[in-house]
Amino acid sequence: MDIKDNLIVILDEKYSSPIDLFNKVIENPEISCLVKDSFLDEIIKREEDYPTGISGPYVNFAIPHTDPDNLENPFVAVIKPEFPVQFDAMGMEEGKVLAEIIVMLGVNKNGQQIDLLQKLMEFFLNEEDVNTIMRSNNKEFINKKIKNLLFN
Amino acid sequence: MAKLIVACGSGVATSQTVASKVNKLLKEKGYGDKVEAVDIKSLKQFVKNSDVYIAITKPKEKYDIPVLNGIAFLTGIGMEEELDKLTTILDSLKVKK
Repeated sequence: MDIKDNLIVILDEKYSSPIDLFNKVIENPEISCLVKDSFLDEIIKREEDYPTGISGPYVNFAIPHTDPDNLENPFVAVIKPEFPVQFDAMGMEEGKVLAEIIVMLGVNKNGQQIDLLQKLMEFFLNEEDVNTIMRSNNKEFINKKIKNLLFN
Repeated sequence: MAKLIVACGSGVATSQTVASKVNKLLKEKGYGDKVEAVDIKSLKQFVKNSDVYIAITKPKEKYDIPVLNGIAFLTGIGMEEELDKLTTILDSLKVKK
């Protein structure tokens, strides 16, 4: 299974925290079949130790992920919650990030992830693309657009 | 050549992406120094033998070597400033040798 076959978009759910988000997203039947039982605990732990919230110029986002040993199949889950979810900031920054969009990366170590991550970062720096995605409430549209941005 | 390292939580995506980006930027500027993505669990050991640490996680302690903000290279925000800091450090290291 290729990662581009497993691009899942989840909209309009309510999450009270990153842990709540991880719990609900992984329970989603589209995702639960792609991960091992260990994935949930591992991604919670990783987010605690090494948070992934980033303040972008056009939108705040988070890119939670964990060791590929916890995956059955690679995937990318794009989550646009009803209300922003508070993540801790990645790297040396202090503080919190109210993530309006979360991209959960179920990536493998095969080298593909570098290209994917770079394209994802380019997306977040593109005002027009960000606005297009943030304004849409159509799963298929978002799925198609993100697929195009990440896998071309 | 100076030894540059970057480390992240799971060693899957972020550290390698940053290493790849920095290597490309340095090459464009004519520097042959390379960044290596290392296992964060052995960070202390690597820091002993390195010249610059590019951090994408909150450093848990003070290191004797310069620490740069790796997120700038990941997101591109503030990247030019961080790159200037890096090349300044590399230049000063070359002079010492």
